[in-house]
Amino acid sequence: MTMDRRITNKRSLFSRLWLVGLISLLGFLASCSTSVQVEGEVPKLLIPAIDRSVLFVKPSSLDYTHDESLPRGGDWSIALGPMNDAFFRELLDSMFVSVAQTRVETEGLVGAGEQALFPDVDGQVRIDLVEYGFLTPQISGLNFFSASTKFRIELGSADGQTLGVWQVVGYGKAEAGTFQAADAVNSATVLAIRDAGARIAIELPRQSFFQAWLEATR
Amino acid sequence: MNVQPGAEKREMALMSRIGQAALVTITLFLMHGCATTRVEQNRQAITGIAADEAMVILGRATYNDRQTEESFTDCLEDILSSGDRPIRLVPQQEFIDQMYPWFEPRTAPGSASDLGQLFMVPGVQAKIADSKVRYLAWIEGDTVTIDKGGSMSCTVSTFGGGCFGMSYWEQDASYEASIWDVQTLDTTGQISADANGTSYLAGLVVPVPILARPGNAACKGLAEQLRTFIAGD
Repeated sequence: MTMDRRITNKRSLFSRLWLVGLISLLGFLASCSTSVQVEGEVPKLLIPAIDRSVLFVKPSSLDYTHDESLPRGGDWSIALGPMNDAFFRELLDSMFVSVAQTRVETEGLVGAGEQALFPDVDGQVRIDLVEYGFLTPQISGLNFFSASTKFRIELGSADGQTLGVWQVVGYGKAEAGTFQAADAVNSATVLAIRDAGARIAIELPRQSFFQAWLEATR
Repeated sequence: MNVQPGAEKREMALMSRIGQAALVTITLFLMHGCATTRVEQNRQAITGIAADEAMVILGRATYNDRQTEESFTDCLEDILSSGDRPIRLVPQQEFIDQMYPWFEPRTAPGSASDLGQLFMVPGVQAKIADSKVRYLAWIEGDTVTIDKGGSMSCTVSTFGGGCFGMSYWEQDASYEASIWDVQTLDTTGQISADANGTSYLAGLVVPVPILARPGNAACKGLAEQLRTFIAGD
């Protein structure tokens, strides 16, 4: 084999490898999956604490991980658990003078059998994540990633009787730069949780069942 | 006239360098396309800021399809906190976190009088006083593409690749700052900045961008006017 032919063969091999690499890269980008562990700042409430002690009942729904495959948007896995846990613990700690907490795997509040474990509480607050959704700019047609959360808040008496149920929706949106989709989904989700938290802090105490509970536990 | 071969070579080399320098200068000039900016101010009260007082730049967030970009408020903060006459700024996110839940998109006061009502909530006025915030500057607006056209195609093959054609897009950046004095609970004035520019992407084997950046021009114009408005000439 002459030197010229060897060089030509090498170039041809290099070109083919380059093409295969390019096709592989495009294939990878087309079918990429994105995993987001939602995290963000957990602010303290600038609201005077309500002079009551409550039990924060944390169900497994707060540990939700959202898995979705989007057409032309890849596979998404968005874990809301750690952010929900830190955020609502801080929210209730700021809303009430004293908060105990317990994790439950069942529906409803802590029943009469277990309430002896928390003898000094005036009531119970259970917060469930009912719905979560997000939109990419390709789907919404806007320049933003957006997310929404729906929480169900159940207020109960110290002995586990439901006094009222209230649902609240939070919304958030965030702009995204190139290759920053995961960051934008994270920011939009944090804003949606914060928005719901703001409504809970301001509007929950105005609900009639909440006012009645305050009266009853005066 | 006799010209020595050595001198001729030097002259040609010099001309070549001048030509290269001119080409680079023209390319750099073209790559920074033009943006025209117009800044207007409406003053309603006398302003001034002490050395220990601060301002907060807040991007107005809405639930519709428009929103002031975070990059724009970041740009304003960078310019105002530097230079010959820097203004002490409390970072936007730090302020919003400190004031939670009162400055979230849903709950933020819409006017200076709403701020007065918010001050009746226990702790809010004291928190702002602690951080020595004197002014809130609410920024509304965004940058939108108002026209685009042209065409460019790029091809890649085993023999190489390249782009050919020309495309352009015209952007309009329109922003307004509304400045509130938290001591008097009044709107002290508004400043608006509008910038317009057309960017080009020329495909000459490699794509050559010629960017106008009207958002950046509006940011510079608004920031300098805001500095003059708050701190004086």
